[in-house]
Amino acid sequence: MSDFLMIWRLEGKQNRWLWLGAFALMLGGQGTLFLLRESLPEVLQWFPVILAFLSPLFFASGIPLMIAKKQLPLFLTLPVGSRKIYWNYYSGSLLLCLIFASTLFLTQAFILRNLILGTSLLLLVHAAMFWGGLLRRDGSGSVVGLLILFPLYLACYPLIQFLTALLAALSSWSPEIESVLCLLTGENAPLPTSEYYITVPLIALASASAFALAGASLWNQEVIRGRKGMKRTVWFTVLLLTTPFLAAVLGYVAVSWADCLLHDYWSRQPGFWSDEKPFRITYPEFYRTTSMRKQEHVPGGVKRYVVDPEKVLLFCRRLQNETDTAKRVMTTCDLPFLLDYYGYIPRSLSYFAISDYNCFPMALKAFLEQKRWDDAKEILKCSELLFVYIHPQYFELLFTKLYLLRCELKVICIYAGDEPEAASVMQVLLKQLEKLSLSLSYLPDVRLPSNAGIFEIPKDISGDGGLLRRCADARFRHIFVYWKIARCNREIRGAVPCGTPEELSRYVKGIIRFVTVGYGKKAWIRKELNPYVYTYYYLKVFGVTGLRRRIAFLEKSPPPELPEHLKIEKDRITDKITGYSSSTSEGWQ
Amino acid sequence: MFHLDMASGIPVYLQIAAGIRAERLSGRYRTGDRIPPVRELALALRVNPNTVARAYRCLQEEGFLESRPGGGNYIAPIPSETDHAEREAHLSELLDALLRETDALQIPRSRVEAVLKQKLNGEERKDVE
Amino acid sequence: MSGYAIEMKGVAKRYGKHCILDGFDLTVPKGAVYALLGNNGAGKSTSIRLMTGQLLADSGTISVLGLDPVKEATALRLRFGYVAETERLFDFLTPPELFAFLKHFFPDWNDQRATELLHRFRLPADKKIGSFSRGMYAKTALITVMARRPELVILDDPALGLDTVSRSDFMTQLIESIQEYEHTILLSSHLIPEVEGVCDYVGILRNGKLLCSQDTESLKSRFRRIRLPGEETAKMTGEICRKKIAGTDYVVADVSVNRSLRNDGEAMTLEEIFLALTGGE
Repeated sequence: MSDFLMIWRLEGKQNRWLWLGAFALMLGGQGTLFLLRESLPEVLQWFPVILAFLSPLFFASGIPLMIAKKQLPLFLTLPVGSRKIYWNYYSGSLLLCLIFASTLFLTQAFILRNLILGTSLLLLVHAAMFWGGLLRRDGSGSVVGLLILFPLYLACYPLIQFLTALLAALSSWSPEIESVLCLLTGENAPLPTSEYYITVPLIALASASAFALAGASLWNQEVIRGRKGMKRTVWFTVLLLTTPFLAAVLGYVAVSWADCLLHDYWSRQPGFWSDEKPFRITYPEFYRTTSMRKQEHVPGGVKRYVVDPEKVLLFCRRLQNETDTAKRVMTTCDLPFLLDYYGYIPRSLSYFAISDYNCFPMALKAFLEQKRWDDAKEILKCSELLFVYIHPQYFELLFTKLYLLRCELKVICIYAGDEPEAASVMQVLLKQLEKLSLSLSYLPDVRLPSNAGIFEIPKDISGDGGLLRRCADARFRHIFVYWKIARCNREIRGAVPCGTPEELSRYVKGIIRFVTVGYGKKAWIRKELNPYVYTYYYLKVFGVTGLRRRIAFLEKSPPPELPEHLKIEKDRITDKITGYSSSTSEGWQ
Repeated sequence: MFHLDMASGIPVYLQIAAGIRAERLSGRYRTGDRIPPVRELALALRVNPNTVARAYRCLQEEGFLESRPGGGNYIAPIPSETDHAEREAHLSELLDALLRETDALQIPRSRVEAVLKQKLNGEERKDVE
Repeated sequence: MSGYAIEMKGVAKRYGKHCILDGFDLTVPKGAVYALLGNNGAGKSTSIRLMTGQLLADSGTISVLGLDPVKEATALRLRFGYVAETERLFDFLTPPELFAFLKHFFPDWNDQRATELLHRFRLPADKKIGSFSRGMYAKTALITVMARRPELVILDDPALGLDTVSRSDFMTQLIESIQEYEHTILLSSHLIPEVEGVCDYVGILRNGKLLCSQDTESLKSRFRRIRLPGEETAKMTGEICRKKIAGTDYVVADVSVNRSLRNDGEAMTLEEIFLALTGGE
């Protein structure tokens, strides 16, 4: 390091004006522009920035000058590695450029992303000009270096597109990466996409490193050893221009190929997937034709449809009596054209007349309030039977069932009251919960919309940006979906064999993910869990335990033994293994 | 001081040793005198100091020079017999050289003898001791 | 570790199609003062630049102080000093500033010695080196080496272009330094009479080949100039060349080849031997 300082001091003595000038400009320029900022037209404000990028023209000719002054032989008698001399001059001229440019950059407001972008571009321009200066040591080298940047940009254009798509995909897949990127790019970035602020600097830095290393090689071969390196230089230039292009092409082909492979694989896998419906579904016709709501007039002239518990009850009875013999209808469903990744929210089967399943919990609530225990029991039995007669039993039915049970649990806890008779209703629900399982008799193949071949353009490209970017975006999206499918399946299948609540708790703990949301001071960590597994776990652990205790309390019998991994605190049951607690609104004791 | 003849075919260090001996014999150095240090002589003659050192070593081995505590080389006292033999040898050398020259110039020996006699009679003798 | 300061074996160097050195063998013993003599273009500078690691040999091995001058350049440069006639120092510095710069890189730099030499050579300490005359320049370059007392000193035609006084100073300094400490000196020179007394070993270079490399004394006793009796046309064993001097024909012969001649004719100065061997006048 001190060798560097000595040589820098030497250069400083020799070119005092260069260093002083850079510093003077830095200070003076900052002051002047600060005073005149308002009165300068827009164009002139950009002029200093452009000048900053061209500063290597002034500063990057340290080595050619040194060679022209015939000082190299003396340097070569010093016990300093020749590479050190190169890096010494390189870093010195880079420092000068940064000092000079800093004032001109400072005319703009300070934004981190602009700083990163500007600095990396300056590093690239400097490296290219330094390399050019070594290539042609007669002084015209800097211009050569500058000129090669134009074909380089063209060559890197596809790679920028591809990397931008990659970054966008990564940031949507992983909130951690997204928060890091947000930190760097800030808000309201003006370039087409905020990812440009990351990909362009990355490529600029990589290219700058390539130029710097090529320059070191030129220095060693041509200047020190005196060998002619034209062949090597030609190779370097060819590689420099073809590598980014090839990288983009290969990258895209790789992603496309992965997309196609995974698509083929998952298309043949039986799987739990929320969007997945069998092609043909049959169910009793009266599901579709029965209306569970009645009209109600609200003061003010608005008509409203509210759930009619009596109608629900009638439906339930019909369900119990008629379903075996009822006429069945069939419906086909289209596969979703666009695969998106908002698969967590259960979607109702829109072809039912029952537009939402809430009618059951609402009817239950009404009967509980009216203390019509038997009717309440009927509702509970019915909401289970409802799904039995839909063939085939696909995944969406399963999680709708879970959802429904959850609602019913909540209703019972809040509205059942303290009557001993309520205990019998709870028993019905308890039995349902106890026999609940995640295995499905019918597990269709995951069917995905047909995919484009490796070299075809995906059908679902959207958004802005170049063609390559949009295609890559689509491919990454698909791969994300496959990954989600895989993960969801893994998680649910893993929950199926868990026999005891404790096993289930341990399993759940294993698949909890911790996600950082937001960045900086506002960041917090959220627990994320597969919602189906969560609901199932909730019902099996908290639901079952809570109901048992409540029933015991109502029947005035001793409370059953609390499983070891649970504890009661402040009206809630808490699972010591996973850290989850039952909901306060359920008011467990 | 003495000259070195690079074309004589005699190694330099021997020439230096001979030169010092000659100086001694001619009376410029006497017993107990300190001869110039290696460095000085090397500079004066424009030769490698190692050569001078070699010459001095040679003379030391002969017993012609001796070193004293405190450094330096001094002319050693020599036994008179050897002195005499040296002088005789030196005289013989000088006369041989003279005769070679005069032969080359084709001066007849009788003439040499005559001139010599003239000189010997006409000049004062110098003490050689 | 051999007893040689410099050892070159089978070295070849080409510039394009032109072969500068071919099958070049050179050994310089430690502690010797070695004079490398040769005409322009004979390969003196090239061989020196190969020794100092400035050039890469096409074939052969070079070992300087036991190190490879290319691979171990940094370590080697600490141990030898090099003065070349074409070398520029940093013109924009004064001598003390230059010394301060060099002192950082060479741990064996001795400031006192440098200042002493500065005085001895009567060089101004407050003027920039760029303003020095040629002689002063050369002396400053010599100080950069002498202040360090390296174990090997390589001087590539150091006194070229200097006036008599400066050259004399140079030789004085050289002789003094030989006496001051144990080191090896390799110098290439045009002025043979000047170096004749000083060098222990001589190497004569012609067309990229070392015609002879041996200690001065034995070299000088190896060649004799013999007067030819009449117009003899038959070539003698060990003959190097024939000359005509002042109307008389002479032959220069190598008596190590033809021992019968060793008492014939007369001995030659180093310069005369050089001229005979390299085909000069």
